[in-house]
Amino acid sequence: MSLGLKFQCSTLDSLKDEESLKFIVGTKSLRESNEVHVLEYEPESNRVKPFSVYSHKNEIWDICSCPWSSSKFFTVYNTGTEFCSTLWSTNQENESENENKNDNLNKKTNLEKEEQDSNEDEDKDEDEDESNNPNNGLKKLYPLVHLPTPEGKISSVLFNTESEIQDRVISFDEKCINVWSLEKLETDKIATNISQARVGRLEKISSGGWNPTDPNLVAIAIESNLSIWDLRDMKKESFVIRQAHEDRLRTIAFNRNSISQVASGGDDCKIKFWDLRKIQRGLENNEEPQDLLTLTGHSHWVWQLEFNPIHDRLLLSSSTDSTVKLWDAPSLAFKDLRLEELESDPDNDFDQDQFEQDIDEYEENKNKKVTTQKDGLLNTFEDHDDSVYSIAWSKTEPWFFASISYDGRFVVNKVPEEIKEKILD
Amino acid sequence: MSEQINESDLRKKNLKKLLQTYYGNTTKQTTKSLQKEQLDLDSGRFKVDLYFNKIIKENNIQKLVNHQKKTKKELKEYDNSLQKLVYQNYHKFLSATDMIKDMSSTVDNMEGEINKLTMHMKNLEKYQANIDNKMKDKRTKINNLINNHELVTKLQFLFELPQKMRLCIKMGEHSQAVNDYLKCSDVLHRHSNLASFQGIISECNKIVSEIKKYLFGILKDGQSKKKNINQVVRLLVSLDVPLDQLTDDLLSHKSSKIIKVFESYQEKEFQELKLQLEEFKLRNKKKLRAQTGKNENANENDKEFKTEMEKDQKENASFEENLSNNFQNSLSSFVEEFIDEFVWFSRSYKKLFLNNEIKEKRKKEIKYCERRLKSENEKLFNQFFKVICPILFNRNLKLSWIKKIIGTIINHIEKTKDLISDSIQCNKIEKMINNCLNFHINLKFSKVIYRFKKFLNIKNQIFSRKMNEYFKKKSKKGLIELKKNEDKNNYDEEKIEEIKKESENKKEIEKEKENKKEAEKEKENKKEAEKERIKVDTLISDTFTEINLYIIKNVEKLVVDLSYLFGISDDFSNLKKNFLPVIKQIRKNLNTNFNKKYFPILIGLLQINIQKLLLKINKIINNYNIIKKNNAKKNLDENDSKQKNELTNVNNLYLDYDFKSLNPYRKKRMKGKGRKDKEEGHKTNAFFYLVLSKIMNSLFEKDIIDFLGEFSWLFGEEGFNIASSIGSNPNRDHKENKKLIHVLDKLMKKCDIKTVIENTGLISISCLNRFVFLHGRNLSQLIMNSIETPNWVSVEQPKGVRIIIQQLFNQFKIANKIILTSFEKERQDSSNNKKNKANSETESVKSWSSRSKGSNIAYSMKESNFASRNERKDEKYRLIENNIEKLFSNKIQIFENIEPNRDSIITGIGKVALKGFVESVRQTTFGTNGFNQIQVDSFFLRVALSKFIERSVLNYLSDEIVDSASRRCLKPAKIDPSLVESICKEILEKIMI
Repeated sequence: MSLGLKFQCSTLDSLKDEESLKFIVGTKSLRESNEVHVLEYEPESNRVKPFSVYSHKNEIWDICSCPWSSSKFFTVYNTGTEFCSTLWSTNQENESENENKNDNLNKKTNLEKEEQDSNEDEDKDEDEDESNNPNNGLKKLYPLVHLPTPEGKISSVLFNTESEIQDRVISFDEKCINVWSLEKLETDKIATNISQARVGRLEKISSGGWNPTDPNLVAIAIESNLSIWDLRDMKKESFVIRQAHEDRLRTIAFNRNSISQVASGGDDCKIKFWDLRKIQRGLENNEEPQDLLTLTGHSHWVWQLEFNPIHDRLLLSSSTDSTVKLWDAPSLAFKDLRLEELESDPDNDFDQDQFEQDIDEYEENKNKKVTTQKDGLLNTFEDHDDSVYSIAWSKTEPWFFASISYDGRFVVNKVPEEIKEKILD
Repeated sequence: MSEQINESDLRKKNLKKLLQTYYGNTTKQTTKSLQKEQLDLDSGRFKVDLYFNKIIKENNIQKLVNHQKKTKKELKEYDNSLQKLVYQNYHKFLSATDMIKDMSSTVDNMEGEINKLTMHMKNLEKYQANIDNKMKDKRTKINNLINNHELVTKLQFLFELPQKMRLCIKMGEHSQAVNDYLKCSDVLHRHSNLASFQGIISECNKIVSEIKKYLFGILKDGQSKKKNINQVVRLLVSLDVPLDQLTDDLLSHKSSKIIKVFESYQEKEFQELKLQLEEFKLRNKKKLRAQTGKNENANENDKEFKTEMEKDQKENASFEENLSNNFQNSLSSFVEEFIDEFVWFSRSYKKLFLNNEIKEKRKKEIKYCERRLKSENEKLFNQFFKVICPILFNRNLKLSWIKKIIGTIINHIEKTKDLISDSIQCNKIEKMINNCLNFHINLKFSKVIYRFKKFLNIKNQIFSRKMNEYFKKKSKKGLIELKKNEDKNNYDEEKIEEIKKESENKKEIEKEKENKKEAEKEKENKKEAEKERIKVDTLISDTFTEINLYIIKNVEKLVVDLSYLFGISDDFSNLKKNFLPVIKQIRKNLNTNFNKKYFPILIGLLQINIQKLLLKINKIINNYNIIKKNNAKKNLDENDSKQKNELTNVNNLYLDYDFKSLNPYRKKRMKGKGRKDKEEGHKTNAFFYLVLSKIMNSLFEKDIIDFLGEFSWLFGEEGFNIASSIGSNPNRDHKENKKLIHVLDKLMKKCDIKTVIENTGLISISCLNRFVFLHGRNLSQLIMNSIETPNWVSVEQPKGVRIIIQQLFNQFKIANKIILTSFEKERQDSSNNKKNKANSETESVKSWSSRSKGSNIAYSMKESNFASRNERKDEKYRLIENNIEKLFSNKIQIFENIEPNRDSIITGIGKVALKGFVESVRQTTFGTNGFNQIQVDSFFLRVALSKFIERSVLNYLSDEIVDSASRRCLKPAKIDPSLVESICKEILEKIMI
């Protein structure tokens, strides 16, 4: 199901919502005032409905919704002269709650004033409020926290989806990895920088990923190298996979179910899977890093990769060849690992019945394992006519995913039923 | 109820009727036939009453009367014939009775006469017995007399034997003498006790010894004929000469004869041949010199050289033909003679000595003889080899000749197969041939390598010279300009000092002016440098193409030659063993000679080509293996395992080579400081794929596949290697290849030739795709870097096409050139394409300005749209419009499968490159000036690349570039298209020229 937005877009994310499938899309139009669309997909009628529209002054380069709240999200935007990033809220109450939590009760009233003083954007926001709100009936967004970015251009902001560290956010710009605290604010609405890592002078970060299972682990892409950092030691990267791709790396995605599995995509049209622990061990022994799996099929740059949050054998990729591809990598999926563990130490289970059951299950699974398909392409979705810049799995119903292309076409697709059945078996 | 009964009765009646009619008919029929018989006059059952009644009933009176008449007539006839019969038989009866009466009277006389006869016979017998008895004595006497006479004659023969033998010897008929002697010898020896006989025996012995002497004399005399010798030997054997002596003499005789043949050949013909060969060599050298000279002085004395070369070539060709003919004739005649002699010799030897009769008699001696024969044969063969080897191992021989020579030898030797059952000789010959082949293959390789070396040396020299000149020029220019600048600076400083005194304000202005001037100069310098760079680029591309062509040719030649050789014979067990060191040698040579060369591209290319060489060699080895398999199916299992081992050895070697040779190059690439090095690395990589795909393609299409077709499966295997290594990171090639080998070993068993041929085709396509993708990516990287580096918001107004874009065009030009060398002829729709091209070229040359006017219209249209949009200030509609436009235009696939022709390849490259342009434009923000610059650039590309890229694709992508740039522009204000045109005009005109 698709919907055409009136603006160009380059980013979307899914919203955490327990009832419905909601996606958030930011428009990217340089000269016009931009909008943040919350779109709702109804699987019963197979329709996409605009849920609400918020005005956003500047063009949005990246959007990242909060994994715990459907009303909060980060945008990375370009004011024309510099790149900024702000955490927004869709309603004011949340804001106050948030601040209550943050023990900044007193500052609530002062916030708006200080905002006027400190932020350049603020004036524009006000203009927006005055001009657009009455005209277009757009809702207002309330800024919660700004990430101060004195240098470089921010490319993306990431929450850590799995861990319990809810107040930490990582941002990537061309030169640095920054870790921010959202709870301790330096001044009002300005996040404090907890730690910062800097790459070499000639190097340039093009994108990054944060390991959800091990929040100390961050992977960034520098040209064709994949560089791994430990947040506890920000002086130097812990190791680098040189020439991970033949060309520039565009995207990195961590597997939520596996501790050290990463997928990367780049300008060489390939998608590669890496086991970071294995590589680290190998590098210590001076072995050449080797990928677990390489998937080929795109005919132009791979722009974004997303693991399915539950069935991690499914990987979604978007590309500038205007296709979205769904890949299956059962050999690397988490389940298999668990089975192997089961095989290795069955003695731990004292309960005989349980044990037998487990063995039966294991046998069954093993048989299935033999019959399951090989790693590779499952489906290609050709709904778009232009480069697809962003994709996202739904956070409520992980069989659905949305994609958006340069020309503003927003498409929701579903994992085909046959594939679904196969995986659930 | 009653009704029912009635119905049933009726039914019964009907049935009865039916039955009656049926059976009644049959009874009638029988009665009818009976009646007929009863009515027939001739039948036995005729009944008169019935007949009479019937006739009376049926006929009227007249008919009856007629009938009566008829019957009367018939009756009369019957009566007559009866009477006749009776009379005739009566006569016969009478005569018979007479005869019997006569017989009985004569028989009575017979008995008396027969008794008389028996009496006479008995008398006769008595008389005969009497006569016999009387004659007996005389008969025995006569018999004795006859016997005595015979004995006497025999004795006479014996006594006359010596005389007769002498007479025979005088007459020259030794054979008869010997025969006579042999006839008598038994008798003589039996009665040797008698004195008279003894005398005869001694005399005979004398004569026999004389004969023997004479015969040995004949044997020792080398000039006697074959038949004679045969006879002599036979005689000698019958005379019980000790065989060892005989064999010695005979063999020495034979060998002397054969050796004479050898000597005659060695002295006369082979020396001539050697001389001729040397001449040939000299000529070749001259030729080479001339060629090199030509290369060096190509520009100066073209015409003269050409005429000379042509003459030389003609002469050389005729000379070659003569030489090869001579060579073949003399050699084949030599081999023929030798082998004829040998065959005849060994055949006769066997007949004479190894007969069954003799064998039984003299076992010991025969054993000795056999040994002798063997040793002698070996000697002979050794000598044969001695004579023939220096000829076969001559360096100047051509492979084609050798093939023929070996062919003749093998033909001749096949004749002798039944004789040379001793495997020693066979093995020796085979070994000899193998060695010869190995030698020549080695030679050929070294030659090829030598040629490579020379060629590369020449190329390098030329290249380095040109480069030096270029650098010198550049440096000189630079120096001069620097000096000028310094002078001016000095001058300026002086001026400035003067001016200082006058006023401070003016000074600043001056300075600014100077700065501007310098900047302009720098720009000029840059432009010049750019021109030089373009020159260098073209130079590189030229050398590239030359080297490529040359190497491809050479490799193909070599393959043809090699396969030629392998077509000859079946067994080359040594070859494989010798092959590995050859390859190693090649490797050594390459590593030592080429790693030092300063120009990495050449090395890369050369290494690549050597890889190909190895690939092909590998393939040939495997061809051979397959041939062997076919020939020796019995030993399949053993052979298989061996071959596999060898195969893997070769494979490992190849891989080893590949890895080692490419590593330094890779390191260079990795270490390369600037982007340039990297690009060059990529470039060679990309073109490597191009060349590979070309070779694959040629294999797929051309004649080579005909003879390699069956064996291309192994090449296919290598292809797999390549195809998969294409996809892998250079760092991990080795491991993957090892894995692959493992997999491929499995595949090899399953692989079917047809599919593999298809695979070669597929691989060629995949290589092409890879090439297009890599090259396109390299170009798009060029663009991306140029777009990402400057700050487009604060860029100056466009003054011309950016240099990088011009370079892009040049890259396209170079790529086009290189592609043309490999894919000159378009396969499909060539005529159409050519027409189109011609049209486009004429268009582009003659009326590019007018066409740009056409595009002006499009531009102005867009311009108006822009204006209106700007007025309306809602871009939302624009997007919708755009989407609608896209709906109606065809979706352009960025990367489709490439067909092996120039157009498709280069549009493929263009698509990838320009798509990169579009994407990178979408990621940046432009100021007005920056936007205008992009406008100019895209216009330039649109016009300049129209030669290469399909028009629709080009237009779509360049429009997309401008469109996305305008969206990413803070204040989009288009320059007037005419202005764009005028900006591009100069450069475009240059290009068109």
